[in-house]
Amino acid sequence: MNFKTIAIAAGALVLLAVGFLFFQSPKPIIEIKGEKLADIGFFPLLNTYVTSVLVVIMLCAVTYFGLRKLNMVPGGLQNVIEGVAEALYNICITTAGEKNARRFFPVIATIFVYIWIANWMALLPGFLSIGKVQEVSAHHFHHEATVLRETAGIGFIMPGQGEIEFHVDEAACAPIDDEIDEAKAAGHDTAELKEAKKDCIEHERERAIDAQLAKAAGIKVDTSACEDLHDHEKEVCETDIKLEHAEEARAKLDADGKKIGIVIPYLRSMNTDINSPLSIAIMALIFIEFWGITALGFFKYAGKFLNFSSPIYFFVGILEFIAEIARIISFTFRLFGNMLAGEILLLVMTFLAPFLVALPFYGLEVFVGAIQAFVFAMLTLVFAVLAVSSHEGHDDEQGHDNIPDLPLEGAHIPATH
Amino acid sequence: MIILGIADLGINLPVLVAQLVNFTILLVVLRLVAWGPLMKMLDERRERIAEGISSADRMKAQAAESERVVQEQIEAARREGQTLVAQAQEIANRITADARTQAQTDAEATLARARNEIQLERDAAIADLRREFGDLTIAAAEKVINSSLDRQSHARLIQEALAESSFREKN
Repeated sequence: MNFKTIAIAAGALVLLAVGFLFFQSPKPIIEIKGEKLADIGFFPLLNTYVTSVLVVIMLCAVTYFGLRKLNMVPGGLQNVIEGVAEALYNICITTAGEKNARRFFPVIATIFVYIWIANWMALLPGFLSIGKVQEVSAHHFHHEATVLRETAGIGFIMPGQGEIEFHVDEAACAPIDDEIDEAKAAGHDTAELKEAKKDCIEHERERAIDAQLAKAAGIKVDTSACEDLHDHEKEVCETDIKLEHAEEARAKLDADGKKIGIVIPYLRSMNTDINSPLSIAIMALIFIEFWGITALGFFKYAGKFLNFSSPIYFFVGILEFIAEIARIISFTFRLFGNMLAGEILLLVMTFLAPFLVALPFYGLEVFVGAIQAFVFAMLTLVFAVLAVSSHEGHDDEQGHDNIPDLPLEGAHIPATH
Repeated sequence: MIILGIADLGINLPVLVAQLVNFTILLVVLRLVAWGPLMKMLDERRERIAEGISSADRMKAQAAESERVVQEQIEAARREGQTLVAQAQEIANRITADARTQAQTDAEATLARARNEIQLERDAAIADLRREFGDLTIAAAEKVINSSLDRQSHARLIQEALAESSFREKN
């Protein structure tokens, strides 16, 4: 072993040790929804939406400046864009044929590039890590939070503090549920009782938050008086003792400039918010149906789904319609699930070991990001080819000419004629 | 229940609509700025490449054709040269043969003439010799007989002697 190898190994070990000792972060708080940064009228400005706008602006700018002067002999940025475009265009041609490829290509390419760049952009530093502080309160309740300091609109997690979990005693509000049921049975108005239930839960949440203030502020609370009690009673007793210190803890937190809350990142991977894959899936389906209708004519295309020639064909048509709609769901959840899983994987890996360990998984996410974009675009292409092919494809000369063999297996429409 | 679940997943109608708008904007812009011009250019380039390949093929065929023509011409020239050489050889042979025949004829003619002249000269010499010999004989006889004979009998004697000699000679 030469000196270089030893030095690298030692450096890696030191980095790992330093990470474990000084940069250990609290357990990551996993959020499925896109997080709200602000409200603009009725429109919630989500961090995922901000990212998607950024991606759109970036793509428009890059393609505009890259392709402003098209040269027959490409160079620089034009070469890169052209390489991607040409590869996709060739795939479109081999899958859909010359004529159809020219119609499909812009949509397929846009889908691919949009998802691809969004996925890769989400791996840049700053995504998910820089964000504003959302203080936890009864209105903005969160079951988990951390102790934070806010500077210049950016939240910093205090190291070594760990996460805080709030235990809301919802059982305390259970009697109101019974009352609501009774009122319903008696035919009375339940609005007031529902309001009361809401208040009760908010009150319980406030209690839960207050109970954790002492721990967050680092105040030792003596709960030895509750030692003899068990289970629920012990919990209530401890909570009561902690609540006595709530005011003191709040003052200490304020004096230290600390807050209890969560960090809402300004930027978050676009496709980890279900709205964005769903919107792309809806657009893909709209285009697929549009192409199908324009290629075959409305009645012939509708005949794929509504067929009265025999009960069996009618039933098959219904099934096909369901399958067509189900594509939205499969499109959406394939992309959403993959990207959310990737994000959580990276969060967890960074939590387990702050340095180095997450690196291979970053590589994996680079791969997954590109593959998911490609899969989405290719499935759209295949479904589009299926949509423009008529059922009597084998008898219909023109239709047969236009649709060469499909590259993907299993994408076969059962013949209903 | 389903509605509640959708909300928990984060589906939010205003955001969804905004995302649809986002995608549409991207699609329109990219269609205008990138995909349209690029498709046109890719098609154009493909055409040009096909054109280039076909023209290259044409050139190759042309080159092959011209090479064939040149080869043919060279072949023809060689054949012509060979014919010329053959002709020249023939002419030379003929000239040599002619010269040889001529020389032979000349030689033969010269020989014949020479022979002829020799013959003539011999004849003349013989005649001379005969006359000389006659005179000599006469003189000798005169001496011998000492002019005892008259002229006529003398001449007759000589004639007889000559006849005898010429007879001998003829034999």
